[in-house]
Amino acid sequence: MAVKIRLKRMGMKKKPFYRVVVADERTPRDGRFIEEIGTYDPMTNPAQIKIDAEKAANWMKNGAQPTDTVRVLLKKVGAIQE
Amino acid sequence: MSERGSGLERRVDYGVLTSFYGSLLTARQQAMLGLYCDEDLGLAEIAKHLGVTRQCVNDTLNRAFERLDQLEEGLGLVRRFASQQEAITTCRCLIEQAMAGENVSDNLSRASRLLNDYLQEEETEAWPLKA
Repeated sequence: MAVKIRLKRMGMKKKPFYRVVVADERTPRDGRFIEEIGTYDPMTNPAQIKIDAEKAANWMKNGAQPTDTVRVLLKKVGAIQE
Repeated sequence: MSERGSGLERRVDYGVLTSFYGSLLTARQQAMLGLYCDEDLGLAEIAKHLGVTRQCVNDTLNRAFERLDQLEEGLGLVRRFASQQEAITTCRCLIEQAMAGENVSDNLSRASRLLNDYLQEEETEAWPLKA
């Protein structure tokens, strides 16, 4: 089973707010995910990124693939290097 | 092609535009935008999920982005919503300060001026619409 770390949009219609989740790549849209490891709020200035770096590192060590967007966030919080 | 940024910013921006104008797009465009913006899927993943080619996803999404940009350019609902929120939030802050007894008349007159400016801006902007 391929596992991905990706964003999932939550919250209000006009106020985007995202969870950073670990999920099976085959199950988008059904709301299920394995674990939430952080959040991303683009509406604050500057955008607020909260990610459990340890959990992220653990999942990646076990083969979870972050999406390009999550990779950007992980870099911003220093959870991964270039 | 749209001029909005790529990746993260693009997903956030078009996600917002979709929440305002999504119902004006085709069901197929809405489905793809949902997977792209809300679920953070890549083009190839969307293609696999919907059983179409990657090229088809790319074309459909680009047309949807273009349409969303057009709608926002003409109607400006997102832009208006943002400036409305900003004016209201600032006003609330000024009023709360006044209620707490800080520079009462100064804060209230600033709030009043802000609302006035905002109303005038809306009135003068009403027609013709300018992007």
